[in-house]
Amino acid sequence: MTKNDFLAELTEILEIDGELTTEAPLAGTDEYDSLAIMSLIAFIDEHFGLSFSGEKLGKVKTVKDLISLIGEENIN
Amino acid sequence: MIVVLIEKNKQRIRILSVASITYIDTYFPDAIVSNHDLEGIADGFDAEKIGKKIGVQKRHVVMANETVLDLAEGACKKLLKRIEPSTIDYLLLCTQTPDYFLPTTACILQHRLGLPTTCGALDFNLGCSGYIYGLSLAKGLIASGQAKRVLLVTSEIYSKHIKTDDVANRSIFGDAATATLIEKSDEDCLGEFVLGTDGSGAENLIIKNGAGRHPQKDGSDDDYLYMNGPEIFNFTIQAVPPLVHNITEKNGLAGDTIDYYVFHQANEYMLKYLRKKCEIPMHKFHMNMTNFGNTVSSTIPIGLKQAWEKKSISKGNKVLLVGFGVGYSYGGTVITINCKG
Repeated sequence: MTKNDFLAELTEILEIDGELTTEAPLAGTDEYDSLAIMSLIAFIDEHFGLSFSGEKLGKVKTVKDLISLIGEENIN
Repeated sequence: MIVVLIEKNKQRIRILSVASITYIDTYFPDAIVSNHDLEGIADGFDAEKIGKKIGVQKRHVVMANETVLDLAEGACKKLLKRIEPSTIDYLLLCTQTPDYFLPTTACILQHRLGLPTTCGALDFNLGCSGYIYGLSLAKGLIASGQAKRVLLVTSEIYSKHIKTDDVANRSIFGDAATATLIEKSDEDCLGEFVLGTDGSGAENLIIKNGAGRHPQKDGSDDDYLYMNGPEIFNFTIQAVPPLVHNITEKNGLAGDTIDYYVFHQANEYMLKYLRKKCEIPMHKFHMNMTNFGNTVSSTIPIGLKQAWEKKSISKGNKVLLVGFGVGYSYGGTVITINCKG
């Protein structure tokens, strides 16, 4: 998946207006709630075949950190 | 299909009886809580957003003086208008929120319903997989000749165990009861079961305080229902697709020979993803929890009743049922529709 496609998908998951950058914060923001994490789990399962705990995803600080967790080789 | 067992030593032949679901009735308490009613209780709760995501707009909840037994009685009395109570010879009641630690709720229900004292009765404690396990037990009781007419009841009142400001769980769960009659029949309409358990997930959906391990309620969040939604979601999307595959395989059916699918109605977002992952056509997949929410062990019989009344299913159809959740506990089977109502 390209980085741009990933960012577009993530924008939809978080239901935010405007563009998301790799530096954007996740943990602690209003948008990054349990519903968003549930959607993220489905998205990662569907596109990358990977599974992460909600706790681990909940602690991801930025979009860049999320990309590192999924694997930079999967998102370029 | 009739299976004949021959006991070698005694040369005794026993014919295993087969069973069908013949009646289902549902019962909801009168009080209703809408998404709008839940607004303003906790910061960040957006009724429109939550309704759209989980597919629930309102849910029924019990009043302070209503209990699992009352709801169970309501569902059973509807069913017993069509069936002579004296013909029921086994009562199975699935609940996690019984009226008392003891006695067994099913015993009190036997008396309230006027079922014969020769009737077997027991409670079993399961949540969202409970209906599947109830069908499995009923099939075993009938097949082994211990019962001819089993009344399977599901009744749950999670609302009494959710903290007032926990709007996330209050928006998902609703209270309800159902009654299903499973009886000995000429046709074998309860298929093969696939069951599963993984207690490593126990902490992810739990009410910690008030029972044996932590008897005292201490005013903390542990007095109430706790659900780790993302972890339950993780478990479900990993466990259910292979479960569906195993159910079709064990029943000797190809996926396209299944007429309809009724999964436990956990939340619509989860159901949509499971449908996609299991590659089930949309028109064969039941999804209808808008007015009731997740009613735990009652969602599958409610779904069957809805599908029967809307004519999404009809006599002779093969319907795959799947339950999954608290425990973790999961299971499924294929039933052949042989309903009378």
